Amino acid sequence: MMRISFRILLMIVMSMMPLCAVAENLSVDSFFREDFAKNPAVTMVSVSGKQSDWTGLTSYRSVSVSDDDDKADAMSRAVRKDGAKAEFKETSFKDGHLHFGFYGLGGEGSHRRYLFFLDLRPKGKSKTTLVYIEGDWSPEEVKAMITKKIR
Amino acid sequence: MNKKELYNKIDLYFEAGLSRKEEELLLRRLLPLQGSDPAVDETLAVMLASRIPGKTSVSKKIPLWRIAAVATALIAAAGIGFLAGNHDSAARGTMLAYVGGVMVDDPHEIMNIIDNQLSDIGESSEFFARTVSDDLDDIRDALNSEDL
Repeated sequence: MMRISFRILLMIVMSMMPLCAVAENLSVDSFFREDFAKNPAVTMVSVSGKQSDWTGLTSYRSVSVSDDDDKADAMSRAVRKDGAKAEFKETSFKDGHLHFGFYGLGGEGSHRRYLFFLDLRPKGKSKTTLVYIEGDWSPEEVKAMITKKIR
Repeated sequence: MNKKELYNKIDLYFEAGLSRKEEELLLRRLLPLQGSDPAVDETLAVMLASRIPGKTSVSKKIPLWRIAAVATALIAAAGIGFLAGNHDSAARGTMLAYVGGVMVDDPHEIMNIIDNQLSDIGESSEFFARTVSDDLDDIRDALNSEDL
């Protein structure tokens, strides 16, 4: 009976490993769902698994909102909420609003997680972008990857 | 009810956390989905077996090892499904985009979207680093000033 109980417990623990890797719910999760992506003001990208091998990342997700202040404000609030729990952050504010944020959300190995946020309002384009990255990258490597994309 | 909520209800069912009415609602929700998902099929098998006359409670009549095995399969399926993304198998991964509500699955177009998004962020990241560096230079100059 003890042997069976231990085996059952081991099965349950091992099966939970993939779920635990992304188990911590983030407030920004809702912005990466398909129902949000189908909005005309939204551009969303989701790359994961083997399709993200070209990046060396486990998962890449991004969402941009254009000309929709309500959605952009909701994203900003969610980022600040998740950012409050970040292991580290780099942020800048403009006119009292979160303008740029880079957050390290912890994790280990290929499940180290980061958030980038950029709000070009109110004086720039009306565009707000959120990027979620997961992979075995250090913060410096993630920043280097991002800045290499500058044209 | 989306997939995540459905799996949560299934978990609650196996933990005997649903009322009789909620179990009925779950059964009605699952019946049309039969054959679409292994977790749904497993749950239906257990739910329908419990409706055989003489069986009063799932938790009392189903062996513990079977409950654990089904729960294990459900948790693993939920984890893999979440990681895989939108309906693609875990082996293939996911690569898709939506632009203005329209799905895009052309890899080149998706790469262009990523490039555009990261360009904006990269510029801001560089600007942020320069601003911090400039501010620190100003502070250093102030500290080194002979006026102090």
